[in-house]
Amino acid sequence: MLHGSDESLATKIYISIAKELSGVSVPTFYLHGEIKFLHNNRAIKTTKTCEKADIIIINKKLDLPAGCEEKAIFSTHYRTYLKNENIVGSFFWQKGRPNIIFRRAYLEENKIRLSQSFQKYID
Amino acid sequence: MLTLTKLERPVLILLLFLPIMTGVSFYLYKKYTQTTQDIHSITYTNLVKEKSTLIHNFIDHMHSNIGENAIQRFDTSSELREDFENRLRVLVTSEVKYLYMLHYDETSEELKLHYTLDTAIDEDEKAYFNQKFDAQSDIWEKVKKTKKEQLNQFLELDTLWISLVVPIIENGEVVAAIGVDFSNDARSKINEVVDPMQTLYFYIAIFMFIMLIAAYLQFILYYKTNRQGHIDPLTKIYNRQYLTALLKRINLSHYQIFMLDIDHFKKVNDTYGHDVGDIVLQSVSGRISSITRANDFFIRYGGEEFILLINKQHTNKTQKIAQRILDIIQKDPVHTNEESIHVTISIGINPLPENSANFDAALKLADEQLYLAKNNGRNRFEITS
Repeated sequence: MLHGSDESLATKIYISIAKELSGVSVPTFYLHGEIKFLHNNRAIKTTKTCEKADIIIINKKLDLPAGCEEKAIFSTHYRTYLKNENIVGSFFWQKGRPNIIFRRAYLEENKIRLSQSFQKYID
Repeated sequence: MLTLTKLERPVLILLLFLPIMTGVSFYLYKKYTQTTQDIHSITYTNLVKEKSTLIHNFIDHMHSNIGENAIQRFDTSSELREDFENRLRVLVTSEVKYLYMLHYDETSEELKLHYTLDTAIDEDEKAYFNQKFDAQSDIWEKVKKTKKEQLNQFLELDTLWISLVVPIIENGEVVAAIGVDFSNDARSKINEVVDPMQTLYFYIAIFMFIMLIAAYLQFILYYKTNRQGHIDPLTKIYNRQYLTALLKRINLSHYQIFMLDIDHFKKVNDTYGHDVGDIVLQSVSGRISSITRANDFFIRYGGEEFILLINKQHTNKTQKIAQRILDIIQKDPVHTNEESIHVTISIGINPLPENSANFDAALKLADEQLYLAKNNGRNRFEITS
């Protein structure tokens, strides 16, 4: 469970990641599964369908509706990320710290170039 | 002019006491806050010292058991990792949130860290062997460079307080490090004890400050009301009510009593009307006020009668003062829109009021001298012998 300021930090990181992956200045999120602090979060723009989303955030479940495969999927759960190679990256909390990881193979395959500030998170 | 020396004692005490108490309250609050920080600092130092010693002992123990290339050995043996994870877990106490060992990626030019051992038990918290670790601060780099343990305080994270990183040196190089994250719980426990007191001191200081402001506002209000009640609205000099209040706090023996009366004032009123009479009263009182000193009291006693209390601590020139008053009144006529009226006054003086039983008796003597001055032709003064 995240505390108030941690949630605020996490929201900012999610927005940065979404901007980086989509290239959109105000990215639209599709949230799949229970991601408590992002639901009803006024700082982000959300949609109820994958089609309109710029980024998909999942927790542990991967049972995404049809049409979602084409979009960049990010997980809040490190193990889910490890198990599924079609997930571009993961942002998760471990040891009280925010951790970000991007999958090099996915980025290369989809010709996504991350800016310098995100390079250190590519695994 | 109401000066500080003329203020009543309780008001003076209040005006001095409240600022002092407010200052003391804020000082106590600041001092308590400082003490709280000192407690944190002492706790912090002791926690770190104790844990540092234990971790150094663990590293010595690890090297004596596995040999100098312990970190390489962990790379190939999961049983060995599990064994030492259990041994490291013994150092996890209530104030320790996370305890783990990371190794430096020697193949990368950039600083990269990976997990070697992790004492976490929770599945979501426990890192895999070799999992990348995102360093939030530069202490890991500092440890690598300096080969000395480093401390870092977390300012952005809620659950963590400080981190201690102790280097593991093999063959003269820092190959790995043990990280200890101290929980904010330890600090929270201290805060639980000290915060209520700190809050109490804060509220006392604020309360005293509000009291101070309220007291000053009350004082200003009191001063204004008091002043308005003691000022004659026509002549803007003190009135008879003020004289009553004044007599309670002054020593009459320090003053000479001058009783003044405008000559033929009734005739002025009858001839020119009351409006002109008012202008004459204003002019006469204004002229006399202009030659009185700050420690004298000039009072409209009623109608065209005035009382002047001259402080005799600073003068014994009674006659000169009386003559000056006569001169300043008769020197120039009083100008109205249509008329120029020549005005004079008569003065009765009692220079030794202390010889009378009370103020009324002393005033009566001055009044008798005024009566004498009137009978002797007006525009003159008479003094009790």
